[in-house]
Amino acid sequence: MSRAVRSVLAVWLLLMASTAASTWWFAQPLFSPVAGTLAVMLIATLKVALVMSHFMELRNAPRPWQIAGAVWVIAAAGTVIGIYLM
Amino acid sequence: MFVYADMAVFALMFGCFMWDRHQAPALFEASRQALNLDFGGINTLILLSSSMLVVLGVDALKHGRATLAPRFFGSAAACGVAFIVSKILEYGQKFDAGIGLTSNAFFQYYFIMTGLHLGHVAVGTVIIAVLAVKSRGARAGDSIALYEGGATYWHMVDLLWVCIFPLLYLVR
Repeated sequence: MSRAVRSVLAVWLLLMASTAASTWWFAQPLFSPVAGTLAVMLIATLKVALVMSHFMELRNAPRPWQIAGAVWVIAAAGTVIGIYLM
Repeated sequence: MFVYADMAVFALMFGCFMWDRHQAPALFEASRQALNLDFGGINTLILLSSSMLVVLGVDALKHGRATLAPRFFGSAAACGVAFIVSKILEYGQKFDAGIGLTSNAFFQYYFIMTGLHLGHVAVGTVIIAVLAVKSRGARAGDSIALYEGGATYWHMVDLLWVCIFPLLYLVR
């Protein structure tokens, strides 16, 4: 198994585990709504960044595409989290 | 470029959803509680797995293991079909409970966002299935640009669901 494939499988496992944690742990009533929601939002932001960098291969893409991807993540996460905290 | 434009439209929708939620938090929270988290969570696991399979398919073509590619792309397309079936079952539950597009603002967002996304999943599933068939005849040294283009579209579909799922199902 090549290093690239091992890296993709590791990222996939992390994405699966963080999805399970968001859905069946942080979204449950044992956390306050704000704490649970912020955890869910931060995990979603991390997942989006991982999908972009490792699945869409933005980490190997030309600089302008990397910047466009980063701008999207920051703008979307900033807007959603900012409005939630208003 | 098309992928970024599509993502920008969805990002705008995410902002509008949060703004309207901010105006009527009680209504949005009560409506959210009518959703089935298990459907959303399992659908996320399905799409993440399909994305990983597509990455492995492209990697197989890149590194001279072309015979593996049809299996990876075929499995990814099967994940797409599983997502569509799961979504149809979920919509069925909502309709049976008397919930529809016009029930309230939350469900308007729910059906529009998940419906638009489902359309993307359907298109993506067809693209990945076509790539699965096409990759059966792939040989070492062939261009993989077409596969990379299809894969990028499929990863975008996955990425959008990674955002839509927490917004609609998990934000309390």
